[in-house]
Amino acid sequence: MESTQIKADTDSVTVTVNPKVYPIETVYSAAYVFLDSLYILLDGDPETGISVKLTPKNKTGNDTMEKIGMEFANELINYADYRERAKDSRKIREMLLQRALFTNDPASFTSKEADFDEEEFNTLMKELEKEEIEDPDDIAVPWEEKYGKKDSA
Amino acid sequence: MERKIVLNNKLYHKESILQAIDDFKSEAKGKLLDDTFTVSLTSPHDNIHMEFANYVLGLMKNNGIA
Repeated sequence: MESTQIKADTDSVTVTVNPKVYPIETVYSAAYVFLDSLYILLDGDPETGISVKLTPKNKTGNDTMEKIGMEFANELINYADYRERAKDSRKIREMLLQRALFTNDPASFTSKEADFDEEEFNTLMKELEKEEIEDPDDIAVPWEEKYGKKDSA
Repeated sequence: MERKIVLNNKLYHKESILQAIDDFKSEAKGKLLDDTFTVSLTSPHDNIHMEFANYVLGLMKNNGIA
């Protein structure tokens, strides 16, 4: 089965999703985005194939059924990526939380939590810092670096 | 006008459907007909069954089920 199939009709579009590529949680997340503008009906089997029927609430819109299906497919990619990233950064998030809790109240740090590996934490943080961040508007560039130092009055 | 909607029991949560029937009782008469989650709604509104399906999805999200 292909990952995604889009079958447009006159007043609705059916997107068939391969759950091995996009799990049911991803399909739910993508569906929630369109709850305001579309009627959404899920069918099929979360193990073998999920079909999502999308019917626009407002039929005066200019969007074609195929375009609506493609937008849903884009949202599937968006949430699949989000879930993968969340899975990858889970350990770092847990460590950050542990460190924050430990900093605020070291006495509450139990022996189980004491497995916190400072070295591993630092390695993960360095890996995170190495990751390139897209910053087309130079938001991360400090003011002084961007515009030079302001003259003191 | 009576409208029926079949919600797949592998994808929709029964408790959320029952809650939705309760929430729709002012607008529609609804009842769960069988284990395939066939919901019968009686209302003058044309798209009440589709609104119902959307509402169930919304409830599942709010309840942290999906």
